[in-house]
Amino acid sequence: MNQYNAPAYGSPAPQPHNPYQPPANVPFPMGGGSNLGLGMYEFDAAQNRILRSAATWTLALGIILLVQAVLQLVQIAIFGALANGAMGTMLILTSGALRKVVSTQGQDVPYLMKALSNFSNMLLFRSILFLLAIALIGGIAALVVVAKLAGA
Amino acid sequence: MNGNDYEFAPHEDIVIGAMATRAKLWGYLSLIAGGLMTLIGVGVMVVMRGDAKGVGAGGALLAIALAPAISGYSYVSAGGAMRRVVTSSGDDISHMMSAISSLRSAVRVEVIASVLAFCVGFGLGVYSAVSR
Repeated sequence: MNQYNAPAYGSPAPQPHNPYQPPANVPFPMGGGSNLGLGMYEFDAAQNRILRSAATWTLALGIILLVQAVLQLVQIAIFGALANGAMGTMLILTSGALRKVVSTQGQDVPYLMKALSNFSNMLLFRSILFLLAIALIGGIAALVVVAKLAGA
Repeated sequence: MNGNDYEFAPHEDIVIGAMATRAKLWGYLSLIAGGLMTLIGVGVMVVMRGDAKGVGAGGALLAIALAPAISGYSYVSAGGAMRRVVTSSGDDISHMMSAISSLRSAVRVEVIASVLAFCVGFGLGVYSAVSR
C-alpha cells in the first residue's frame, strides 16, 4: 500500500520521503559548529561549554575587581579605585557578550568580536598601568640614588 | 559546508589581531613580574637564611610569583593561538577555541590567586588582631 491508495479513514500511511521536509539536524563529523554562510557561524554544544565557562570566570574576575575598587574607594585610594572599576566593568561587559554568544542564534561572531574587543581593551589598559607603575617606581628609585649620591 | 571551513572576515581579523598583540604583551609583562618576584624571593631567602621570618617571607614571595607566571604563560599561549587565527586559513574556529581556552585558564588562575590572597590577608589580619 502506498500513499496514493491508502484508505480514506484511519491513521495516515507512513510517508516514505517528503522532498519538502526540513533537513535533518545531523551533527558535523568533526564536532565543529555550523558555518551558516554570509559571515554567520553557530558554535556547537562543546564550544558553547567552553564559552560559557570563560564567561563565568571572566564575570568572577570582574566582580573581584569591582569589590577591590569599592574597598579602595573606602580607603580613599581614588586612582586605584578608578582603575579597578574600569577593568572590572570591561570584564563584566566581556562576560555578557560571551554569554550572548551562547544564548543567541545567528549572532555568534558579532558577539564574540564584542567580547574580544572589550577583553583586549582591558588588557591594553592593564599593560599601560603596569608600565606606568614600573616607570614611577624606577623614577623614584633613581631619585633616591641621586639624592644619596648628592648627599655623599 | 561545515564549521571547519569558516574564515573570519578582514574586519574581524583586525579585532583578533589586536587581541593577539595585547594578550602577548600582558602575558610577557606578567612573566617578567613573576620572574622578578621569584628573583627577589630567592634573594631574600639567601640573604636572610639564618632568620626564619626572612626565609618565610622569601618563600611567600615565591608562592605569590606563581600566579603571574602561570597566567602570563596562558596569556602568551592565547595570543599565539589568536595570531594563528589571523595568519592561517582553514582552521580559524579551532585556533579560536584554543585561544579562548587559554584565556579562560589565565582568568581562572587570577581569580583563584585573588581569592587565596584575600583569604590569607584576612587570616593574617585576624591573627594579628587576636595576638595583640
